[in-house]
Parts: sequence; C-alpha cells; structure tokens
Amino acid sequence: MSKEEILASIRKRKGATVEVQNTVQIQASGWGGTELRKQFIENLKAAGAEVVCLKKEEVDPYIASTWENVLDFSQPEVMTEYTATCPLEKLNKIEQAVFRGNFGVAENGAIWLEDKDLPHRIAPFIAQHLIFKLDTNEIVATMQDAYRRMDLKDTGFGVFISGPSKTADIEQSLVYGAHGAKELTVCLT
Amino acid sequence: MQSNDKKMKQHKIGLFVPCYIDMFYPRVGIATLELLEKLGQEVGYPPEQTCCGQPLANSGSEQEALATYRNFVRNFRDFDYIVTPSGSCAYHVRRHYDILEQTEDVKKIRETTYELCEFLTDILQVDDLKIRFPHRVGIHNSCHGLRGLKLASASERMEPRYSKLRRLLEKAEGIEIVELDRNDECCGFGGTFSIFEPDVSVKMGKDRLDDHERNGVEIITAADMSCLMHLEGIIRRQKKNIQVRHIAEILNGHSL
Amino acid sequence: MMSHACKAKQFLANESRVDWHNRTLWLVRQKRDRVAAAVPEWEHLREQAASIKKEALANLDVYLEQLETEATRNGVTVLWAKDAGEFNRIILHIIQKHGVKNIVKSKSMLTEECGLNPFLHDRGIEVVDTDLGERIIQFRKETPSHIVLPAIHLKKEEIGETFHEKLNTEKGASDPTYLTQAARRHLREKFLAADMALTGVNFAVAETGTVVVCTNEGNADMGVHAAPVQVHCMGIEKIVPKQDDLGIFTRLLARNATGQAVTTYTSHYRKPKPGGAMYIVIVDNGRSNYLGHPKYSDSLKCIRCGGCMNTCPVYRRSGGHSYGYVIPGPIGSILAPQKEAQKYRDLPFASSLCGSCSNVCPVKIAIHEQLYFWRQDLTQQKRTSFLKRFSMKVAGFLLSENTRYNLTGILVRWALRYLPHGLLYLPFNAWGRGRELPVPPRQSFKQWYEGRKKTKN
Repeated sequence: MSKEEILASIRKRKGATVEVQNTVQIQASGWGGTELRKQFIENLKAAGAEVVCLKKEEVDPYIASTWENVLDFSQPEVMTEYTATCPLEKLNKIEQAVFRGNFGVAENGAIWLEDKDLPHRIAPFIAQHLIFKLDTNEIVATMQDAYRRMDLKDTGFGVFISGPSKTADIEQSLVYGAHGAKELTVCLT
Repeated sequence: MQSNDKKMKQHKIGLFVPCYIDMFYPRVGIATLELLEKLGQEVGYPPEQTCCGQPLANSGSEQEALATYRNFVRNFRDFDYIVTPSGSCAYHVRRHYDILEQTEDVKKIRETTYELCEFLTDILQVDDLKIRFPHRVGIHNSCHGLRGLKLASASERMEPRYSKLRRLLEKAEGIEIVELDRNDECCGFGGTFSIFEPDVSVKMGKDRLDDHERNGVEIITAADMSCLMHLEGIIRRQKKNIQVRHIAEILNGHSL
Repeated sequence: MMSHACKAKQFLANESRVDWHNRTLWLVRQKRDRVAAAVPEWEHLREQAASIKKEALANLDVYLEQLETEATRNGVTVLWAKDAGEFNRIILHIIQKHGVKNIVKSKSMLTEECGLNPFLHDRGIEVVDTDLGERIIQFRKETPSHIVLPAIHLKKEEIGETFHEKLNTEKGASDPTYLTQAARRHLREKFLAADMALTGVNFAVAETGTVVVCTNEGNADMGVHAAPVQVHCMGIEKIVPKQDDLGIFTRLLARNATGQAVTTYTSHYRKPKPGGAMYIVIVDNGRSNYLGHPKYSDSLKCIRCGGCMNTCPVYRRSGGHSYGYVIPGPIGSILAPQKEAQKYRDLPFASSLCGSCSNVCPVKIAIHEQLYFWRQDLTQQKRTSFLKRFSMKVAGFLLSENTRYNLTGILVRWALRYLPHGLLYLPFNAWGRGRELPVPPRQSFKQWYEGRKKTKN
C-alpha cells in the first residue's frame, strides 16, 4: 500500500534520466607490487594496526609463539567448533582470532572477509584481538579495484576491516577498542 | 607610473562603485578609478548608478531588488567591461541577475562584469605595477570572490594553488605577505547576516583578526571592502593595533 | 521556538568552550584536507559521485523496486514506510512479531528524524543506542549536535560525570580511554542480550540487494550478528545502482567525514544469518516531494558525511543544538525547511553564504545556493518577520533610483557624524553590539567624482 504510494510519488516527480559519466580511472602510476605493499602497510599503521612481515612458512610458528590462546579460523576444526549456532557466551571468550584475509586495499589498509571465512559472523568483531594472514600478492590499489574484484552475489555478509575498533566520541581523543577488537595484527607474507 | 612598457589594450570601462564604498569608503573608488586610468583605460562612471541589489537579495528579498537590478543594467549597458572593487558585487551580478529577463543587455552585463583584481589579471594581464608597500600584509580572501569568482584556489578543493590577489600584491616592492593559520575562513560579515546574527558574526570576525594578529600582520587587505568594514568595526571597538586597506589602495600605490 | 541567533548567543556566552568546539572541528576539517589531497583524483571522484546519485534519483522507482526484488530473493523482508508514523509502527510490529525484549541500535539519523526512541519509550520499550557518542547523549537525554560526532558539544568532564552516575565509574574520572572501556563493558552486555538490532544504512545497492553500514566502533556488527533479528532502516535516497558504485562512495565518505582513509568497518549485509531474520525498511517521510524539484532536489544526494558541519564557520561557533533540527549545519538548514518551512524558517539565514560547504560536499550539492533560494522562497511566502520584509522593501525603494539613493547616503553620513554616540549605539543597533560604525567621509565617491569632473572641465 505505502509502497505504491511512495513509488507513485517518486514517478510523479522524478527528473529525466541522467547519463552517468564514465568511472574515473585510477591513477596507479608507480603503484606496482612493491608500492602497493608499501602503501598498504603505511595505511594499516595509520589505522592503528600492527604489521609483521614474514615468510609464508614463518606465519604459523610466529602466531603460535606470540599468543597463547589463539584460535585460528583458517583451520577447518576451529571453523566447525564455532559455527553459526555457537552460543555467544562462548564466542565472547575469544581472546585472539586469526583469519585469512581474502585481499587487502593499499589506499586504506582494509582487508576483506566474507561468510565463507567466518564460522559465526560475529567472530571477527567479538574477539579481543584480531590477527590477519594476508598474501602480498592479494593487495589491490583502491576501493574501486576492490569492488571490481569481489562478487557479493555469492555471499550473505562481507566486511572490510581496517585496523582495530576505534572511537573519538569523547573530545575527539582517539581510543582503540570501542566495541570490536582492541588490537589488530596483520601477518603479511 | 605607466605600468607596462608595451602599450596595454584600451577598453571602455564602466566603473561600478558599490553603495557602501560610495557612501563610506570613497577613497577605494578613487583608487580604483586612478589605477585603471594609469593603466591606460578609458573609464566612465555612470552617475545614476546606485547598488547591485545584493543586500536585498541575500536577505531573501530578490523581488524587491529587481528595480535596483534594472537600474544597474540601464547604467552599464554601454561598456566593454564593468569593473568594480568588490568580488561580492561582481559575483552577484554574474550569478544572480539570472532572474531578470535575459535580454542582450543583461546577458552582456553578466558576462562582462569583473572584480578589479580579476580584471587586472585576466583581461589586462598586468605584470608590473611599479609600486612599493614595505609592510607585513595579510590577505583576507572574501568568500564570494574566492569561491564564487575563483579569485584564488579554495582550501577545500584539491586543485593547484593560486591567488590572483597575491600575484598582484607580490608586485609591490618590499611587501611581505603573511601566511595565516586559516587561509580562507569567512570573516562573518555576510551582508545582513552581520545584523541578524550579530553574535556569531562578531565572533567570526574576532577569530579572523586573531589569526592575522597572531601571525604579525600590520595591514589586512581584501578585494571586498564590506569584509574590511566589519573587521575594522571590531578593530576600532577593541582598539587593536592593526589596519585594513582595500587592495585597490595598495595597488594604486597609496602608502600608509 | 527560539531562533538560531538566540541559541547561538547562548552557546557563545562561554567563549572558551566555543573556541574549543571551533578548534576541534577545524582539526577534523584539516585531517579531511590532508587525506583528500592524498587522492589525486579527488575532484573527479566528487564529480562521479554526484553523477551517480543524480542518475539514481532520476530512476529511483526502478532502483528501489530492484532492491526489493534482489533483497527478497536473498531472504530479506522489505517494508515501506511513507512517513515517520508508519515507520515507527512498522518497527513496533517487528518487535511484537518476534517477541523482542532487548533492542540495540547503531547510529541512524533516520530513526532520530522519525522519533523512534521516544515512540517506543512511550510504549514501554527501551532502545539502547550503542554508538559511544549516541549512548552518552542518550544517558543525558540530549539530542545529537552533529550527525557523525553526536557528542562533540560535550567536554570529557561532563561525560565522566554522566558515566559516574550511570555506569558507576570513579567520581571525577574523565580519561577518554577509561570512559570508553567502561562503555565497552556496559554495552557488550547489551549486545550479548540483544534480540533485535537496528541500524541505519549508508548505501543500499539495487543490483545486489545489499545494505552497507560504515562504523568505526564495530557497534553495528556487534548488534547485527548477536541478535537474531536485524533491521536496517534507510531513506529512499540511500540507493546506489551498482556494487561498483560503492568503490567511489567508500573512497569519499570517511575521508570527508573524519579524515580517515576508510571507516574501520565497512559492512555489507545481504542475507539473514542462519536461523535469523533480516528486514530492510524503506522510508520516504517527505523525501519524494523534493525529487525533481528545480531548486532543491539535489539535497537528496546527501550521503550524511557531516563534512559541511566541520567546515561551516557558523556551525563551529554556534553549536549543533542552535539549529533545532535533527540534522544541524548547512545541510540541515536546507533539509529542515523541506520538512516544516514555518518552524525552521530562520535556518537558511543562519549562514554567511561563504560557500565552503558546497566546496567540501562529496556529492557536490550547492548547499549555499539552496540556502539562498530558501531565503527567497521563505520571504515570498511571508514566513520571515514583517520588519525584515518591510525594511527590505524600503531599502529596495531607496536603492533603485539615483536621487533617493543619494539622499539616503547624505542622511546616513550626517547621522553618523552628528548623532550622539549613545543614540547611534542604542540596543537595536545590532551592528554596534560588537563593532564600531564606519567613520563617515566628508563626501561620497559620487560627490567627489562630480567635483573632479567640474575641475577637469
């Protein structure tokens, strides 16, 4: 009922169709592999994240030796333990959670996660400390590249995460750990 | 002081002296006239001119301003260019005379009305003024000139930096142009805004003055006397040791 | 309702607070300038964003129906509300249908606009605002003074006092980290107990049926993923046609809002969680009235970044509450009269028309021009004060003809010269409150020019 009223009101008043200009091409001059990596690291740090550069084979030993109660969600057995029906009380006890990031965005340090990476959707938000594994080859320059690359049609939920949770709602003082992860570490290979 | 070696093209210019300059700051009109004449221009001053109508229109009474607009058009239709020492008035004629019937006269007037610095830069392409002004000068970028006429790049926009005022002032020997903390914040004049929102208006003006004072400015200059009238009003009320000069006065070689 | 000028005067009474407010927001503006300057194609992005929004609005009916089709296919229930009352009733219905007890909400200016919290409160249902700033003002029973920084009008000592009272933090404690941690603990309990999460929507993608929500705190995600029922509330103008369009808008939004390269979380909700329910509520509430409007339709392009507030020299000195509308600052001053022209008639005048807002706007709304147009319309509708309209009529009469104009000039100069100071600076002289009047010259330019002509001849 209201739908028809709203649409009728829109149809009555909307202007003529407007042509959209072509999408702006990104000036990626000099943004080759190493530059992308450099930009990505800089922007991650600016967003409050810690970045550790490792060889592929060093990642798991590094994580295991650095954190005690770490849960690695890139391992199938962990995924099956924390499914969508897992009680929140149990999820709320997660100290460190590890995820394999699908790809990162150089211009802002964001990392993409989606349903297939997540046992319970709340996991990367409820954990106190978030750890990403990411391959340097999986860095794109900008958000425009990022959206061209992903296909949301296959997933029910997806998120870009850039740094730990933060707020500046009290006098514009930056505080990490508003509601989500208090710390974020990226293991870049 | 013939300013350029090569002879400048002579244009037939109609000088528009905005109402408040005519009434309170004739020296600014005089400086503009003298400067244009020194630059070899044929300057006429239509004696029946009054106001561009902006004070009314910005207060929401555009309709009450129509008669004033028409008086402007009647007075200025016979010139190559109309030049005025006010960015705000020039912008108003160009942008807001669109509610008049767009006759040939109106169209021509909207296209050929120029703020002084813009005229000197874009049309006369002045590159030497043979003037001396050994003072620490702060430029006040009046909003309509800045964002309406694009006399300078605005700090909000990510584009190459330039300033027509600065480029002209730099021709004065001995001048020191002072960098401000906020390069182009509004002074709070805003026409009748200064009357209907006096508290915010005065606070904005005080903050602008503080910026200039903090950075050691002796003289504040602008392409709009209205902003300077507002700032001067606060300077005199607060007995501050800083002065205002319209840019036409400096470019015309007036010393302090 | 008290005028903007009166409320601004109250805010200005505490000058050091005003200076702090001004400085703090200016810092945000400077941060914005730095990150925007780091994107070489910034101005192109604005152009592109404006163009996408314009096209989306021109085909809004098509895109809204596409959104509904796609979302429905994804298992989402789409509901439509033509006004605030219907919106509130829809939310109440969802609450009752699912037997909801505990509701958490992340920031949504739309729910503020529709008065959802008071509506539910009157029916015995409490909504917990989970954005830290929103929670602070909810505790204090205030309204947001900024759409992105809702508690920017408060000092940490005041927040410490509120938290002491509500969350039992130490008396006198005002350290932002300490207070934030207290709020984290308090709100985490609320998240874990929530059975319904409400969010606003930053962008809704017609092509995929996705709604996108951007936060820094992660509160939208904590609520949405914890509660079995998730409800996303959007104005009809939040539509973008394609997923790729998000690439443009996510590059602009956070940079322009807070000077961050992106918000910490950019969340894309497309299907309900296993066993959960997901709703999208599409709200008109007067928006469609201004679609295709020759002067005001562009205001519907707004993506609510708040950039125009941070840059506005008036907003920074008058505070968000001086506007009296749910969205303050320049954009609020052109949206408010669309809602109720009479009530908000003074807002388009609460601006010096400096134009900084239009230059900052990521979707290139010519805000200052719309302010100018509203001034004309409100005056013609006789909504402005009689005195103002009358004095403009008189001024129009005096300024439109040479003789009258000259006489006025002579009179004014005479008055300035000969009237006693006390008479010139009577209280009704608003100019004279903080400023001296100009020193009148002996003659006008016109008189000088006449004299010069005579001597020349």
